[in-house]
Parts: sequence; structure tokens; C-alpha cells
Amino acid sequence: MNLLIPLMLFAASPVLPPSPDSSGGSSGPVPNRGDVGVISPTGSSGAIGSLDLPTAFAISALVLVAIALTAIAVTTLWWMLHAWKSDGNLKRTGFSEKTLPPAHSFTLLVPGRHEEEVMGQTLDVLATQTHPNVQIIAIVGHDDPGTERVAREAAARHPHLISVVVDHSVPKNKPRALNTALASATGDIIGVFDAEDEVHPGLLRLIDSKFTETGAAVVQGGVQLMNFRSSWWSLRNVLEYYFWFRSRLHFHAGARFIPLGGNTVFVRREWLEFTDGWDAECLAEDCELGVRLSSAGAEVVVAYSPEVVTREETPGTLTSLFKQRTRWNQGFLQVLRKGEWKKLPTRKQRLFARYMLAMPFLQAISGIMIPISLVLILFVKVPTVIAMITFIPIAPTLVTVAVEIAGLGDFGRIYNEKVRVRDYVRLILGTFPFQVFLAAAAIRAVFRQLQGETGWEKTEHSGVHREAAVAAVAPAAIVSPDLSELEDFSSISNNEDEFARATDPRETVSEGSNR
Amino acid sequence: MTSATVSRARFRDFIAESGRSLSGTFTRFFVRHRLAIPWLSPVLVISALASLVNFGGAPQRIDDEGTYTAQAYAVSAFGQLAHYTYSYDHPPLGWIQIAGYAQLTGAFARYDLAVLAAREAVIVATLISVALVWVLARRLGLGRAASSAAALVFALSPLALQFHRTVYLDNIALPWLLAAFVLALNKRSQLASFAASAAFFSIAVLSKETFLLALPFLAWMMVRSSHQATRRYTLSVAGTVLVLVGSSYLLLAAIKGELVPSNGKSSLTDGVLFQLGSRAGSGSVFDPNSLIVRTFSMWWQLDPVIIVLGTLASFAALFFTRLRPIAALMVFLIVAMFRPNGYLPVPYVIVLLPFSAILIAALAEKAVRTLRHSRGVTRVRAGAWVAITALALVAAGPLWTTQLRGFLLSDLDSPLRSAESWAVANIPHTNRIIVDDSMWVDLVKAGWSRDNVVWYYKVDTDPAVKAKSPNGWKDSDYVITTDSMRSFPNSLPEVKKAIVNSEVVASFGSGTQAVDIRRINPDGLSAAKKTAAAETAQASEVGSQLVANPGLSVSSSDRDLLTGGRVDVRIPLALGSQLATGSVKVSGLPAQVGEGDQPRRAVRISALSGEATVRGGSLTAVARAYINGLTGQYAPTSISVVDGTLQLLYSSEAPLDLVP
Repeated sequence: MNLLIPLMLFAASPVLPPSPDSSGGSSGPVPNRGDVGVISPTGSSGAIGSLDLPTAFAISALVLVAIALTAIAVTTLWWMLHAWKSDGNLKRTGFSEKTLPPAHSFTLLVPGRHEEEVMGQTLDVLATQTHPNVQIIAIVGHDDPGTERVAREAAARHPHLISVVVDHSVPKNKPRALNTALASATGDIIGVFDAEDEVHPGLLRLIDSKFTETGAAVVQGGVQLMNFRSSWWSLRNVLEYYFWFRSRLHFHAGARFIPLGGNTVFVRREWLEFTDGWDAECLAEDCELGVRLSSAGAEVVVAYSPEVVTREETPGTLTSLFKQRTRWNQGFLQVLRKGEWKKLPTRKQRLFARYMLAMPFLQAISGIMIPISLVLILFVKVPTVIAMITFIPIAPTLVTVAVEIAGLGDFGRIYNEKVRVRDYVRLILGTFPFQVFLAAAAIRAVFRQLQGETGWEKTEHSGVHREAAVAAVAPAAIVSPDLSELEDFSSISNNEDEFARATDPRETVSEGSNR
Repeated sequence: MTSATVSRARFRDFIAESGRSLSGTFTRFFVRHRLAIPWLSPVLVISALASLVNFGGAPQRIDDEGTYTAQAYAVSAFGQLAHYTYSYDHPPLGWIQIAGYAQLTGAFARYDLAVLAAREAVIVATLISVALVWVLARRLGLGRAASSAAALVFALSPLALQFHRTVYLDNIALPWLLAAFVLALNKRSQLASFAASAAFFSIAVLSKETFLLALPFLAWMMVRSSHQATRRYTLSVAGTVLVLVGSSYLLLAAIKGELVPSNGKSSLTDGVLFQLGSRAGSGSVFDPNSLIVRTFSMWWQLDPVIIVLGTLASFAALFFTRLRPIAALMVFLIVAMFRPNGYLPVPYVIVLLPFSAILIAALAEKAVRTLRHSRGVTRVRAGAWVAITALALVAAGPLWTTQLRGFLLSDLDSPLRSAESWAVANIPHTNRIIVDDSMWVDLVKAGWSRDNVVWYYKVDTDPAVKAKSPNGWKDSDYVITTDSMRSFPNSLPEVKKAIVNSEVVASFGSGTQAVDIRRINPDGLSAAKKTAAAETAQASEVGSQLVANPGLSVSSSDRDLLTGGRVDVRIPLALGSQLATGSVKVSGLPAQVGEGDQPRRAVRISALSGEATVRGGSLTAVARAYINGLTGQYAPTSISVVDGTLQLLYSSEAPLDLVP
């Protein structure tokens, strides 16, 4: 909204007349001999004191909104930049240079639903992990024979590593699938991957070492979307992930309140037993798990190293991205309402949790404030100072854009991708549309929540078939030829399928990097 | 393990233990800087004493100070950016800060003279600068002693004192600039530091636009100190912040609809063009009468030592890596003064002072160290530099002491103060006065309407002001001239006419400090002279008649004043009314301060009809009865008891046609 206000201000310049010179008793040819009493020493129309009550109220509201938006944008920007705040911060975000010998056993859970396209290859790649002690469980629905077939074929190729668990629960969702498989898991540490993830073979060795070094309860590894050239919004989506995993998540770990991602997340078995697995009723079960673990005082460590990051693709269409965002936002609201965060030990953590989980609300409110502010700007005479204040939220927004430009360059350098001028232009031009997009998703989430449409089910059924169809067409239609440059990348199908949810920069998203 | 390492380790433990609480943060701050405090605090105390003692006495208030003060006053009292139409001559943030300070501390209410409130604000800014000079010197690798020396040079050089006490926007901008440099040198938390540095620099530029000249050097320093791994982000955030804060000025103009010129309104474009283009240059350095030479000689008179040594140090410091950006900044600023046809603002020197002081101290410290520890050519060079510095110290000693005495003891502002009091006491508050800005706020606070206190510069240049005086200078009643008003006689024709067609009614001080209050005669000077001559003749006639009355007892010198027409005609007439019934004993016709040869308008009466006018410090019945009889035009403006006698004082504005 902050981008709209100034535009309207410029357009509306006649409504904001400069304060006329205060003039007083000038009359007749010898004005200095006139009466002096008439002249008011504070005769400025720019003075706030001269406003009537409704106007003053409207203006105060405008100022409050501007301040709130600025605060949200600044905190978001500040968290987004966490890794680069100082030289030491950046060093602390990575894996350690020396890998310790393996000391834990792993069970990797890979739920898949209508993902026969990609699941086989994902399982094959997972089977190449250099870690000596790995159990892989592919979880498929009883109503999904295609995926089941692919999973069983993979299990046959790696009989000592991969087993298949069939989930009979109804309705189906990712937390139920995970909970079902948890019973068969034997490892000390449970890891989760999505069916389309491209996982580095050396990852588990590093994760193992991290557990040994830190004694942490949870290690969250990095996830990175790669296809920034596919479309204007995929570019933004890729950057969201980049800033989320490269930087912001480390801040959350430090603040000891962390919404976990949906994959490349590793939890000690005893902690999962403590939480009784995942919350099957929550739309953001991964975030919810993170909140419960944080509340119980579990130490969460985040490690990001570009070489071993788990690679994914953006959803296939803007619509599926929109639905995904809606669900994440709604999931956040559910977690907020569930109130587990109230058990966090310190006030600061609770405040932080409340702020973060309420972000969809805040975003929805600011979305609604767009038209209201416009009306105020157009029809209320605004003193110069107030007009200046309404512009303040733009400042962090523009700083964010500059940071995103720097981040895109950094992304290109780290992942050895050539970033063209065209991409930077897309990035800049996409700023405002993407904000509107995010605000719309937030409003929809709040609306659905208020309507009581909290079911995973409904989202599922409304989306599955169409999106499965999309997924089937996707390889050719949606993903640009650029994708072929991504070596060894099989998955293009992640869309709004129920478990296809990537680890989420969900509230990078919901807060939007700015507004 | 030595005891030093033990105590250091214990100290580290202490810091670690003191935790994250607020009091812990304070404790850690003081513990960490426990060696800085004993070095810096005496410097601050000395600087505060030097700046604050007699800051209202010297130097004399000047027009520029009054302008910034009046603009600050307009911000806090009128909610406007300036006391006249804001013309984008300077960005307003400098005086907005002064207004903020005054608002917070109630400074405008605390001083009778508004400029002193603003002076207090700039002195506070300067004291912050003193501390920042110390910190910056430390960041540049100077020892604590050398840093203190730098801060003292910055605070005590007479050149610095003169300018630090003057309400110049540069003084407000300076702490922001110094802080920007300090933050650019931070090694830890560079993202926040650089962002703050950029914001502070923009604030400095928005306080005083000439500070923009320092940008390349700040950028150089920041890039140099940035960590390679985070540079991409730290520098892009800093750059964006710099541009954003800076462009708030454009935004202000845009919101006010004054970005580009339109139908005669002032605009940002006009303001910038004026500053860059049409503003007259300061002339050539080879022309002894040029403005630039006058400015230089003013600086030179105040303190030649810091000028010479600072310039030498700036060039020499180019050879030291760590000092290079600062040295290059100095050299660039020095060279920029001499650009052909450039305009050199008088306060330009303010930005040079802190960096000169740091470089002087830095090089002296380096030279002393080299002299101690090395041999050969470097040793000779170091020796030469130590000798130069020592020589400068010897020269500075007596010079600074004399100047400092002047700043601490002399009252150069007294003429202006007296003139203001005279104006407030004697000029009717409905009259229009053309003034120097240094008294603008005081007169408005004294009760004049804003339209009737006219800053002389606006008489010829501001259409809004011109519109209110359609007859030009003739619509004003008084003009109070000061040095700054007298020094531009030809560029402001209406002001010149006002001065030419007026006569001095009161005059205070002499030379460049003189302040004259002149009454304008709208019919011209010759008419004024004719009227004055007629009045004198009339007063002489009435006076002569009066002294012929045997009931009057008066000294011979006062008798001469009366017969010579040197006494306001209302006095002999008032005395005459008493003489009709009884005797009068006049004990004096005292002159009013500043009025010189003006007709005397006060009379002291010791007895009426043989009875004393004052007994036991209060007026007697006969005196009261007499005073009650003085009505209408004979009513004095003030009645008082002075030296045991009754004193009647008449206004300086003599009513016409008293005597038929």
C-alpha cells in the first residue's frame, strides 16, 4: 500500500495545497498603520491544531497505519538481513568445516501423493547418501496406486534401505502420513523429505556431525528453490527461500522461537515421541511442531551451506502458489489460536511468537487499509508533516528492494547461475504486484479462517485433480527450457498437492518482505 | 601468567557475567571504556567552560544567526519552515533541530535574546562534536593522549571558538558528519553501523548542504573498512539509506508543490540554481577587497596557527594509509575553496576544524614515536615535524591566550542589546521597523506584529513583503542598522533609501559594532531636517521664555540646554504650567543612553513650590498633584524616583504641533 499512497499524493497535489502565507491586517495604502490585533501569530493552515475532530481522527489513523507499516517492514527487513549483520553472523550460518564421524542412525520419511513422476528418482538419490546408517520410508496413500507402484519399485532396487508404508487414514494429509510412518521408524533421528526434493548425498553426514557438535534436538537444513528464470513470481519466490534459509531462519533459531520447515528437517526421536508426532489437524503442521518444540525448550540449530542445500522448484502456477500461501497463512492463524506458544518460557519469546504468527492478520489489515488510506489521502486535507509521514513506510520497502537486488546477485554467484539485467528488471517491477499478491493471500486466509473453512480436506479436494493435471502437463508447459540446465533435476510437479508443500518461508511470505 | 593478564581475564569474566539487563549494559559500557573516561571528561569540561562562559557577550550577534534563530522560532511558534516564505535556500533540517532543542529545553523562554537560545543549541552540538572528535581520533589509531589533544585543539582554537559560538547550521551538521565517519570505521555490526552512518551523513547534508562534499571520502572509508563477505549487503543498504533520507528533501518540495518553479512561488529548483549558479562568487584571492580575501583575513586574524599547521598536516597525512581518506577530504576541501568564481561561505571553515585538529595531533604523535624508535632519514623527517609542531605551540600560546581572554571577558554584544532595549522602550509597537534578523524574534516576542518587524533583506527581495509595503521604504517608520546591513549598500535599494532618508535617534557602540536606530521620514531627509530645525527653534523659544521665569531654579548648563532648544518642548511646557502657580527646582536634564545630541527628554525635579518632591523614597502629595495635572500630550511615559528626585521621561516620539 505504501507504494500507492505516494502515487496518489502526486496525482492529488491540488488537495494538498501549501500553507498560504499567514497574512494579517494589511489594508489600505499604508498597511503598517493598520490595526495589528487582527494578525494571528500562528495563522498557518499547516498547523495541526486547526483541524476539526473527524479530520484529526482520520489523520491520526493515517499516521498510526504509517507507523505500523513501517515497524512491520523494518523488523522484517532486519530479520531478513540477519546473516549479514556482522561478519561473525555469516560464518555461524554454515556447517562446520570438519565433519565428525557418524554417531547417529537416521530414518528418512518421504511422503508422496500422486507423485509417481518424481518419487522414484527422489528415493534413488536418497539411497546414495554416504551416511552408513540410514532407513528410508516411502509413505503412500492406499488410494494412490501409481505412486505406490513407483515406491515399491524403488524399494526393490534398494531392499536394505527403502521400505514402503501405506497410509490408510482418511482424510489424507501430510501429518497423518508422517505419523503413520513414525511407528515403523527405527533411527535415532527422524528426517523428512518431500517427494520432489533433490538431496545432496553428503547431507546426512553433515547433519549427523551437527547433532554431535551441538547436542541439538532439531537440525533444520537449507532448502532452495532454483528456477528463478521461469516467471516474474518464481523469481520472487526463489529469493524468498534464499533469504529465509540463508539468513532469517538463523535469527529465529537464535531467538529460540522457530517455525520449522516442511522438509530437510531432522528431529531426535525422543522429542518426536514427546510431541506425539505431528498435529494432524493443523494446516501448518511443520510450523506447529516447531512452536511446540520451542515451547518445550528444545534447541533448534539451523545450518545452511549452498553445496548441500535441498533443491526444489516453485509451484507450477501462480494460482497454486496463491493457494499454498493461503494455506500457510491459515496454518499460522491456527497455530496462533491453538496457543501452544503461550508456553514459551520468556515474555520476549511470547511477544515475538505472537507477532510472527499474527502476521497474516497484520498483512490482511494492511491490505484493507489500502483503499481506506486512499480515500483519506484524496479527500482529507493533509498537513505537510502528515503527508511526509505517510511516505515513511516506503523507505524500508525500497531498502528491501536494494537488498533483494544484492541477494539476487549473491544467489547467482553462489549457485553459479548467470543473472541477467532482465532478471533484475523483473525483480524490481515485480515488487509491487507481489505485495498485492501476498496481501490478497493473507486476506483470503483470514476470510477462510473466519468462515470456519479450516479443513485440509476442502483445499485438497478443490485442488487435487486440477493440479494433478497441471502437474502432468507441467514438465513441458510450465517449466521453461532453462530447467534443463539444472542438472539432475527431476521434480517439476510440486504444486498445491497436499504434501508437496516445500519447507516454507511461509512467513517471509506472509509478512511479505515489506509493504 | 602475569597479573595484567589475570586482571584482564577477570575483567572479561565480569563483562560476561554482567548479563543483558539494562543496568548491566550500562555497567559494561563504563567498564569497557574505563580508560576513556578520565581522558575524555576533562576535555569535555574544559570545552564546555570555554564555549559557555560569556557566550552571549562575544562575538556580537550577526544577521545570519538571527535568521537561523528566527527560522527555528518560526518552526516552533508558527508551525512554518521559516519566518518568511521558505525559499529553499538551505534544507531546513538544521534549524528544525535547533527548534527541537529549544522546544525540549524551553530555551526560547529561558533567554531574553532569542539568538542566545539558538547559541546554546549549537554549543551543545559542538560539545557532542568534541566527544566525537576524540572517538574518531581513537578509531583512526591515535592514542588517548593524542586524541585528547585533537579534541582540545578543536575546542579551544580561537577560530573554532568564534564559529562554534555562532549560530551556523554547520555546527549542527558537524556531529552528524563526525558520527558518520566513526560508524563507517566500525568493525562489528557493520550492517547497522553503515546504515546509521549513511543516515547520519544524509542528516548532516540536510542540515547544511555543503557537507555533501565529504561524500566521496566517507564512501571511500566505508568501502575500505567493510568486510568482504558481507560487503554486498552492508554497502547496498547504506547506499539506499543515504539516497532515501536525502530525497526526503525532494519529497518535501513535491508535497508542497514546489519542486519546479510555477507562477512565482518559490521552488526547490530555484533554490538550487541560486546556490549553484546565480549566487555571486566571492571574488579573486588576488583582489584585496574581494569577499574571499575578507573571509580569509577574518579567519587568519582569529588563529593563523591552526590554519598553517592544519594545512601542512593535511598534505603530510596523505602519506599514511590509515589517515588517507581524512587527509584527502581536507585537501579536497581546501582546494575547493579556491575554485574560480566560487562562493566561499564564511562558516565553511567549521567543517575543516575537526579534521585539522585530528591530523595535527595524529602527525605529532607519529613524529614523536618515530623520533623515539627509528633512525636515519625517517628520524630526520620526524624531527623536522616535531620542530614545526613545537614552533606552532610556542606561537599559539600567547595568541590563543589573548583571544581566549577576549571570548571569556569582553561584551561585544552590548550595543545590539542596548539598541533592542531602546527600541522596545521607545518605538511604538504599531510602527514598522526594518531590522537585522538578529533582533527579529525578540521584537516579535516584545509585541510587534510579524508584518511590522521587517528583515531588511526581505524589503527588496520578497514579493510578499513588498506587497505589504506598497510605498516601499516610506511604509516603514524606523530602520535599525548594523554592520551586516551597512555592508551591502547597493544590492538592496529600498533599504538604502530608508537609511538615507532617516536620521539617527539613538546610537550604540562604535565602528563595525555600531548599531544605529534611525527614524525614517517618509517625506525625505531634507524635510526631516527642516522639521528638526523648526522644532529646535520652537524649543529654543519656549525654553528661553521658561528660564526667564524667576520661579525656575536650574543649573547653568541645563539653562543652556533649554535656551539652545536642546530639550524636548514638552518639558518646558510642563514646567511652565507649574510656574504659573509656584516655583520649580530642576535638578537635571539627563541624556538617555545612546541618544547623544538628541533633545533631552527627561527632567528631574527636586522641589515644587518649595516643597520636596520625594521624601523617604516616595513621592510627596505636591508631586502627585503635579503629575496628575500632566495629561494628554504632557503626560510622561515614565515617572520614577532617581537619586531622591522625581524624574519625568517623555517618549522619543515628539507629538507635532504642541505649540500653536
